[in-house]
Amino acid sequence: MTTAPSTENRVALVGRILLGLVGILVLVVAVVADGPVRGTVNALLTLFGSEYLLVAGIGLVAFVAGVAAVVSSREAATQTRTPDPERVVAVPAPGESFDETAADWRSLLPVAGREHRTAVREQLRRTAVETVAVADDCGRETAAQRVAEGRWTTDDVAATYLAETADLTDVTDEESWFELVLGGQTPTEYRADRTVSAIADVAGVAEGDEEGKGGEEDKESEEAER
Amino acid sequence: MTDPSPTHRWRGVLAVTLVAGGLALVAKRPALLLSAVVGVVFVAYARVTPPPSPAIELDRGLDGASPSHGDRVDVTTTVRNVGDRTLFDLRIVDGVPPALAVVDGTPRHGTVLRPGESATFSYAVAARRGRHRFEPATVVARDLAGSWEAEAQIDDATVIDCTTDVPAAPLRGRTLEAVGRVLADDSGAGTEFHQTREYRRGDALSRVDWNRYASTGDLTTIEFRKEQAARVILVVDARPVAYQAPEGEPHAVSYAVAAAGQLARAIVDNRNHVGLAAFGREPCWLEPGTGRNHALRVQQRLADHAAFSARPPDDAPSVADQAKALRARLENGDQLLVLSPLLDDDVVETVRRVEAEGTPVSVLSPDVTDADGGGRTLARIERDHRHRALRRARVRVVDWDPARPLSVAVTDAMGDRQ
Repeated sequence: MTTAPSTENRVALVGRILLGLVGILVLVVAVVADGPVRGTVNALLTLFGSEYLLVAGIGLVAFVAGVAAVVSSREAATQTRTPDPERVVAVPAPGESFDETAADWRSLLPVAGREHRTAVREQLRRTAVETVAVADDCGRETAAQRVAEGRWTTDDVAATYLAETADLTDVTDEESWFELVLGGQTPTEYRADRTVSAIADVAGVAEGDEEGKGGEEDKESEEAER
Repeated sequence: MTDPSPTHRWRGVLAVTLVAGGLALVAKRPALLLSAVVGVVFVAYARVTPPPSPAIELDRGLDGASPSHGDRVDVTTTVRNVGDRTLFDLRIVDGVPPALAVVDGTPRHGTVLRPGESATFSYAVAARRGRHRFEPATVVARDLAGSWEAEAQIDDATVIDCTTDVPAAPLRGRTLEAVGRVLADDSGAGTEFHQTREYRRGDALSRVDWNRYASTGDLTTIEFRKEQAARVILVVDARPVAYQAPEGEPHAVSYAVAAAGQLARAIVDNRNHVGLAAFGREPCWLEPGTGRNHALRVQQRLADHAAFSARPPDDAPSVADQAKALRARLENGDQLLVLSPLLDDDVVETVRRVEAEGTPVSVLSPDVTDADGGGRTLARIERDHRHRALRRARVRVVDWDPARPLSVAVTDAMGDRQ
């Protein structure tokens, strides 16, 4: 890669050179033309009335410029932010949004949290009905009836949670406040976790079982194909 | 490369200098005035240094460009100052492929480079299944005072190819009137037995079933299934919902894009026609074609088109609308091969509708669920249900665990069918 200065940068470069030349010129004039400079200074002294007022005026201007620079420096500092390539690009895990909805503190609110609670329960109910229909080889209506009557699992919390007559306004005996607080879970999150486990049992899905994915045999066949 | 721009790094020093100098004059403090002079020197120094004009070349080497899934790949990156001025503060951040994690070393390097000098740094990444193109390396050059900086993105198109050849794509029976390797439903030129029929005058003697004639005395002719070409549109599901994966793993879109490249090669190798489309942030369409050059065009489109970016989009049009636009492009005889992780119901509904309207659809589904409790387990169960719903709609579904080679998943699925 190569770069050529832009017009703006060329102007800035010329400006810096001009500023330097002006400084040198002022210095030369101060040394060489002593008479006219002294006359100018005397005129300024007469105008201000005293040496102190003249110097203090210059000092005040410098002070105000300094404060302006302090204020502007907070926003002005611009340095390139480099990317963070060390980690894989961040994306959500499948099911993460469900966990977030179930754990949302708003589900604790009696009226405002109803939407959250209903969304979680309905999603679980749909999945439970589909799972029971497949596992028991029955129609959806039959499966829905079993879920509504709590006859699809031996887990009381899950069965009650998805049952049609469930009263979910309070914490049940089994899920004591103590247990919930200790686990840092909302009642909705606790019930959802238990229900997912119950559905997984019925579906025959082993939770957290990633072993056996891509064994040595696959690796060998992959290397043989190369 | 961007133009050199001022960093305003010394503005704070300028502010302190002016405030200190001003106070010194007003309060008659000579020592304070003297100390402000130090600041003047720094500010003047920052003002007189010229902006950098870097000329850099970058070269990237891999110890194995075609590793297996999970292998460690050592990356060695070399930067060279090909300009005629010393680069006093050069910072390089290599463009590691977004789907790969660094497992050793660091892809960052800071150095000073005189004209003609070079610097080398190394790190290692863990290979994951797919075709991973490095992103451009970010190079930032600052002048000696740090008051100017220039930024550049340098690309050398390095690719880590962690894929294997797939013998064939999972296609449906619909074919074109051209010779290919998809078995048509009617008989004709081919190699697979289709049926026997009564001998008719003019049938080739080589087609006569002489064994049967010897045992029964009946003269019959053997017919083979006709092999014809298929016209397949690969459709990659690259909507925001498809950009999901367990922590530290590549997302489903990167697997789908890699699989699309492999399948495109397999399809043209079998003398079929392949096109490319996407459900994603913006429309993508590559007219079906055949031959090695066309397979390369598909690969190029997969690497370059914004729809297949490794970074998730903020939003995308509805899949139903995109499917409608896609259907308008389809010709009679086309079939779709949709690559989707099946993480939502919309794509299932769309596939079912397309199938119901008469276009055969197959689905290759990379599994990025991990059943790790709670919602993650639920996601896997729901995905299983979507598979079942598609199969009920007579859609062919290939479930692909990306820890296994794609060829194994496809071969298994085709074996199941036979």
